[in-house]
Amino acid sequence: MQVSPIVKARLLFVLPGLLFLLTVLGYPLGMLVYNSFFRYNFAGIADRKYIAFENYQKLFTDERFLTTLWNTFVFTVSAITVELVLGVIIALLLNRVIRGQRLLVGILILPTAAMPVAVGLIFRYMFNNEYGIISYFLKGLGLIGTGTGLEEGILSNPMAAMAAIIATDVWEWTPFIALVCLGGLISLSREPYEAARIDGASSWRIFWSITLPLLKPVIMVAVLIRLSDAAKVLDIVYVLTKGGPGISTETSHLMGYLINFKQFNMGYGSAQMLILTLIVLAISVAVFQQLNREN
Amino acid sequence: MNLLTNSRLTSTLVYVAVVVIILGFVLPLVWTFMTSLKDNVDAWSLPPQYVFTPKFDNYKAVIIEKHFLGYAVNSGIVAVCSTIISLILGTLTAYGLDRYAFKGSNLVFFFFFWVYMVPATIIALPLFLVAVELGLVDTHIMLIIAHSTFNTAFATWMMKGFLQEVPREIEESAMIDGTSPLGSLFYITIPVVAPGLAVTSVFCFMYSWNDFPFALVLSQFKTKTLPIAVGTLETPFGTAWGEIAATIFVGVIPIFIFALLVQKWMIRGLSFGAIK
Repeated sequence: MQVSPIVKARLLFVLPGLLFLLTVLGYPLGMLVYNSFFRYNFAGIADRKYIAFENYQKLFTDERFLTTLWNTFVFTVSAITVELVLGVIIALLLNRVIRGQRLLVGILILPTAAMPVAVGLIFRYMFNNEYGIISYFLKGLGLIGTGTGLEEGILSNPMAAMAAIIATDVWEWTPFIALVCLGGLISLSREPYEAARIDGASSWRIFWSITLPLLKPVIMVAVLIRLSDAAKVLDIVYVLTKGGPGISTETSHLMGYLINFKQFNMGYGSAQMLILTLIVLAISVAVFQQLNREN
Repeated sequence: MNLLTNSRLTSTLVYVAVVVIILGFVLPLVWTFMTSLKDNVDAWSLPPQYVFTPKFDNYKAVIIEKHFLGYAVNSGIVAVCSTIISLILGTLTAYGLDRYAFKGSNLVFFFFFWVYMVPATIIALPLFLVAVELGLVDTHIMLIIAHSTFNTAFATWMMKGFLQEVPREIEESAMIDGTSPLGSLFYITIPVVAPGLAVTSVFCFMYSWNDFPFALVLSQFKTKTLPIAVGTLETPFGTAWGEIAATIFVGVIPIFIFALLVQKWMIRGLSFGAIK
């Protein structure tokens, strides 16, 4: 049989990567499906018992599952919105700075390049109710303390703890969006601006009708990267609050981690992870189709 | 780009806003740096200390006494290997999917896109069990493979954007002259997408270097990576805040060096090939 050169090239280019991912992911996913039909506790007595869909039935009535999904949603949407707005503003500013631009870029890379675990820990230090600098200032401003419901500290209040996690993520990843948008701004061609200036368009108008639309493809990529990362957030939550108080800041990935690796409840944990994977799949289909439509 | 020159008042307001925003990002950094120079008494004191005698004990403790250099070597081995694997696999796949598109190529690309979004815990546990079977527990190999999954997906996704911008004509003329498809990718296309490769490799390296969820499951005693080591500074007897702060600055050094090495391509590459 003669293989055409085009087919050969396809095999040569696409097959290695595809095979690699299929092999490394195929087994975990298969195992996940299999385990999800069992009562299977790694730590306890090795009773691996087939229980059909019982794990799934339990999952959909488990308030923890729904709460963690909601928490993940709140975290992802709020963090990305703030990061996007601040990121674009910082990029526009950096683009106007001529001297010292590289120094500013160098400083701004730091939060994004730093280890998220270490960043989470340091923010826990700064949010500490007794000696943390952020709490200290907020107390001075009267924003936390007696009568505000935050006497126990920022990380002990469900809403404030979530806000603290979002703030940490914003601090870490806004510079990323800013740098990506700066890269976009630098690559933009000058012509539309000159034309607009000759027509006497206002700066505000130029931003909305020229800069933003031209920048949109870059912003889309940056937001997509952030969306994928935020939806599977684990490290900063793990070190900042461990999901607490209660489960008020527990995200889906953290719940999966805790059930599988702290309670060793692998049957139930697998079902949770599998449903999470399917939700991620649904979201990626939606995003993907939207992207294809725009191209 | 004279967005902010409407009138004196608005521009003043905008500059105030700017200063506030920038301070919001810089002050936590300054405080972290100050913390890294404090001993435990100063770090735990109330009210917070602005004036103190800087000491480099935390850096010394982290680098010399607590063997963080060894953990950094582990992180480095894993990050370099997984970056190289991911760049090769990702660039090949992206090129194939773009230049030799076929019926299912969109589906393949979607699969890669999805892999990037899958939480680490799902992949990490089965990989750990495989490592037990193969006798590869506490080796770098499993962590390299694990990091290469999402990094390959990421690299494919990034490189596809960059490769789309390269005009096909130059490759076609090379192939008419007898260059193989692989040869034309390496000699003709790769030099053109160098900014893209630079940015993608910095990000792959950073993701691997900073990874916590995968390493939490897959990195043990001998292969402990830096992010896992940072977690051990938090003990039931108290947390060494100064040392944690010091690791932040020690930990970014390799990423900074890497970014500096490729900086002439960085800014241009950072627009992800998305600007026509």
